[in-house]
Amino acid sequence: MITFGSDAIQGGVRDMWRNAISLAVALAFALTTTSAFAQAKKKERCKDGESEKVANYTPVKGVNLDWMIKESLTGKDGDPKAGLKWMTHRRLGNCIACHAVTKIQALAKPGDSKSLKAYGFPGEIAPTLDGVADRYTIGELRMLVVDPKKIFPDTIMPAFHKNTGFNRVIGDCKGLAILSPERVEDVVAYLKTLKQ
Amino acid sequence: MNFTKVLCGTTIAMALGYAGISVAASGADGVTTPIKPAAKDHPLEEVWSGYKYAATDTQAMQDDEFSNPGMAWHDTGQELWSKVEGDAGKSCASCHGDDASSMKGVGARYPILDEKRGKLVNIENRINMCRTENMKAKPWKYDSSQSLGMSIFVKAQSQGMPVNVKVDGAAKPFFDKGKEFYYERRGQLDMACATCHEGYFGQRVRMNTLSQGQSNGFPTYRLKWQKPGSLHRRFSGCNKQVRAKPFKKGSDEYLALELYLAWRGAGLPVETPSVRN
Ligand code: HEC
Ligand code: HEC
Repeated sequence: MITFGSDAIQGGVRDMWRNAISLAVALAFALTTTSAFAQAKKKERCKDGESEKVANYTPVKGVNLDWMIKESLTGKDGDPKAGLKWMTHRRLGNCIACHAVTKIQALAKPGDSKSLKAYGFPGEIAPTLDGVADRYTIGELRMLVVDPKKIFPDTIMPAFHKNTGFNRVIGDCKGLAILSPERVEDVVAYLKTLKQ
Repeated sequence: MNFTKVLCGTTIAMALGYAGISVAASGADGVTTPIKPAAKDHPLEEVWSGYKYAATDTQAMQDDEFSNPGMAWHDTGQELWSKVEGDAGKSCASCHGDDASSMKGVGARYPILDEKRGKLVNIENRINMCRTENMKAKPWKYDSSQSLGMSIFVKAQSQGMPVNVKVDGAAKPFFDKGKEFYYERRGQLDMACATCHEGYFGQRVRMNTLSQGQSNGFPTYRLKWQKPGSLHRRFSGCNKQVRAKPFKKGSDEYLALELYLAWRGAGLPVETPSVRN
């Protein structure tokens, strides 16, 4: 069974602060428009969606890789359709910034700028994710999305489900993980479909 | 392929020609042919200007004096050069002469260490020191049109000259600090400058091709900004991109990074005002 760590509790407190701050911002707005504008302008990196919740998990020895997370972070299966959404979302996931996936590229229709923008032009700095479900177990894929540095210590790939132990995180991203437990499971569910 | 490269080189030489600076006809310049770094402990085998990784039409924009949008700021700098301001009743020209070619070489050897103050000084700082100390005028804000204009104008006097900064002796601790900064991971994405610019230059991250993150073209006109920006603005942007809290422009941290980065790009020609995506 998966329970949420102390961060969830801290999250509640943080919500209270958030509310207090928005109230302060509202008041400041009433008094001086410029300071409220400055406040609003500052919040630009982690808009809504990054997660205060971080699941408790225990990595165990993997089969093809050193580590895996055997159980679902939510106790449930994720939704692959939603997974595709997070993987192509510019702030949440953005896996295709670095990884090419043939199935995702196929969704980019020449002449349709919207689909090209969403699914086209993958990066070329990371290995393709084609067939990744043949190479790794689901638990290993989960570990790779949650915290790839546990397996590849020097990798460029960010940890998508971690909110502590970073250096100089910008104000509005502090204490947040990029993907919530549910969204990690959605991404894992999509990766599961990547068989050759 | 080779033909385009040669063509590029020729246009650059022509573009540099207008500033009255001749470029060596042969030899590596990091623009058409890579530079093999002289320093034994240099982390790169080949040093390349960001020019190499810019889109072809962006390169063409930079090469042509008349289409280079940074030239408008260069002209602002030129006008300010002889403008008297401040309580001392002086202009830059009062001390340095009407002909700004007295500034030739400055852009290639900065930042330098001011040993008396125990601080690094870059072009933006030096211009402001001249204003406050010699002209008794107000300093210009970082990235104001005046600061950008004058920095571009001063650096452009060194166009085509190889970057060559002093990093030994008393400057060594500052160099070391800059190097440490370059390799330190930060932000929610947990990346160092080296993660992208040493590990993956020449490769695409979504639509952007990563360069080596060299500083020889700054202040650079960035199409995305629709105006020129200082090197410290770029640092701040790269910090924020990995969701790290940026440092202040002109901070000791960014000055040390500026010195270290100039060493990484030693030998590259000063390209100011460069044009980038
Ligand atoms: C900034 C670049 C970057 C981003 C963003 C990124 N990755 Fe990666 N990923 C890598 C690199 C590089 C590797 C190879 C490991 C290494 O560093 O040696 C990798 C490895 C992997 C692997 C193992 C692949 C294999 O064949 O070994 C999986 C699975 C994976 N990533 C999934 C994802 C998912 C899912 C996302 C988004 C939620 C994502 N990655 C986002 C850079 C990235
Ligand atoms: C997530 C990847 C990433 C990281 C980390 C990163 N940058 Fe960049 N940087 C970019 C991209 C993308 C560009 C724009 C394309 C280019 O010129 O490389 C860029 C551009 C630059 C440029 C402009 C180069 C030119 O020719 O105009 C400099 C200078 C630079 N970076 C320095 C740094 C420094 C110093 C750090 C660390 C504080 C850093 N970067 C961290 C991605 C990154």
